Amino acid sequence: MFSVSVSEEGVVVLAGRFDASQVQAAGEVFDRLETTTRVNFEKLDYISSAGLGLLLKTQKRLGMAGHGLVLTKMNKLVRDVFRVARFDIVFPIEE
Amino acid sequence: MAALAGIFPFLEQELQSHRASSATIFAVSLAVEELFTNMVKYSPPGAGTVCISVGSGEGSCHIVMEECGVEPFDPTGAGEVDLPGHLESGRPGGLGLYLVRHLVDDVHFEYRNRCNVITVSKELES
Repeated sequence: MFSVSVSEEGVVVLAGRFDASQVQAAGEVFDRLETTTRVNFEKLDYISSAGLGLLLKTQKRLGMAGHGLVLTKMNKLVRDVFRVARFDIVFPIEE
Repeated sequence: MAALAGIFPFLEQELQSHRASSATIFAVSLAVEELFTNMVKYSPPGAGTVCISVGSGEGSCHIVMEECGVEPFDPTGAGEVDLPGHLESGRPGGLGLYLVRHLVDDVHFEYRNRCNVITVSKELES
């Protein structure tokens, strides 16, 4: 089960399993972002290359306008994937 | 990709029965997803079923993915990914296979009886 929502404070909240079958649903949220946005990973259990690709595409698009994503509260297993993919040098990642 | 919704619970249940750690279940799930989506992507329309089975031995789990009635396609034969280049361009093609290579211990391919057979191995207690 996967969900993506935007809180009243404008934080994108991810939860569940972000696999290849969920990219379209997530894209509908990420493709609308126009400014620097925090993404809360606290309840995200899993991510694969499909989700990473969407995040990277969004980061590049926002970066061209001087904005970007700030990723927060990843669990260890998800953070390990970011480290192996070297995405931790592309995204600011906060506890 | 709707099949993934059935694959993940199957893998988790099987791997738990083999006493795999949560880190191993995560890594193997990711590897199977990446390889499965790759198989589907490169299969001709109407190609056969991908059968997935789970076993263990000598401290490792072994996941066998088999697709029959197709031409040989070896995902382990792809070249190394230019990761810095992909990160710079924002188009991470090949990232999935890169993750597979770095998150599991071994990926073995063979083509027999017109079947692509991929075996993923990972220590149970990583």
